[in-house]
Amino acid sequence: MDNLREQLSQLKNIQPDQGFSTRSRLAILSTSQETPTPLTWKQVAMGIFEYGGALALAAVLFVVIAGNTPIGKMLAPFDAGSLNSAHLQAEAEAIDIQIKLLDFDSYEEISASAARSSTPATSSTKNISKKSQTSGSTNETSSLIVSEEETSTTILPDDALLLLSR
Amino acid sequence: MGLFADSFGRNFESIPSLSMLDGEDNIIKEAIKGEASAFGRLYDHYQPQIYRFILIRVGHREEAEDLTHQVFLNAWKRVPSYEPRGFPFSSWLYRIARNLIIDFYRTKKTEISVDEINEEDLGVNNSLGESADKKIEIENLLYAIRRLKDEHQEVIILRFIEDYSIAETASALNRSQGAIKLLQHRAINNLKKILKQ
Repeated sequence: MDNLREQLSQLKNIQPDQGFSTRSRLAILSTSQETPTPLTWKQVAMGIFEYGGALALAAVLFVVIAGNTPIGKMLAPFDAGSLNSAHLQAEAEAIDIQIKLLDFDSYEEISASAARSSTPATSSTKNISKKSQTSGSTNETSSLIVSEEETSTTILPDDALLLLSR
Repeated sequence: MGLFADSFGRNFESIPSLSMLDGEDNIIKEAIKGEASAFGRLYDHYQPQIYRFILIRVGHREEAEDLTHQVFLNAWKRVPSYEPRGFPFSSWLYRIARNLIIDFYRTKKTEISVDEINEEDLGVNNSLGESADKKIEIENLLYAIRRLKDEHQEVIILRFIEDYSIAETASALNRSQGAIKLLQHRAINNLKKILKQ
């Protein structure tokens, strides 16, 4: 053992070449050092964004896994073949009826508003007729009076709609 | 010799080292500040032992020179961020050297024979004036060391060539002291077996 130790300690005499050591030393010390640069706001923000995104994704995955959410069903494309056509037709008809009823309501509203808007028009025609009477043209006034009568009559919702549609 | 805290917040005393420079702590502080002359002193002191470590591991003078240069170049570049944690500065250098040797073998698959080490490199021919038998003995020893496992080689070099203590060796090789004792025992036994063959 001692002999072996002695032999091993002799290896300590291994020395590098002096020329190499001098050249290497000069080359190393003439190299610029890496100075640790402080983090910029942009780097900090990017770091937060990256870690935040990773954490959010991990949280979503955790919720999906832990909550046993059927993500497969959520992500699967819509299968039209699995629908019952008779049921769909009945549903569609029901929707149509609702639309008609809604339309009917709106017709009523439109007709009522049309009737309201026709009232000031009659007053204006009355004024006009009065003015025309004073001017002395009896034909014109008679026609306007007729129109006054026509406008003052109540209009049914269907008729009002027809008028509006024209 | 003050108290140091590791990354787990445990306090411990710095490891005493015979191989340390006088006033090494202050020299390291100056080197951290970028003082070239301070790092130059560290280079002068530690370069030969790092070179020996690499030469015995790699077995080729030119490769050993290149790697030694790279070790100290890396150390010089990184020394501003070096944090003394009670371990000798050499531990840090040995860790850089070990990583470079691993990279060397990863990229260079060819095995280099010990025969490629010159007698001059061994310091046998001129400095000691040894006989031919002595040269053969040392060559055989180097050959035997290189046949050991990497970790056994490292323990042999640090413990018996560089005369490092168990604690210093443990810190340089990033192992526990118990593991170093075990490795040392196995390394010596294996070395004896190889030399007997």
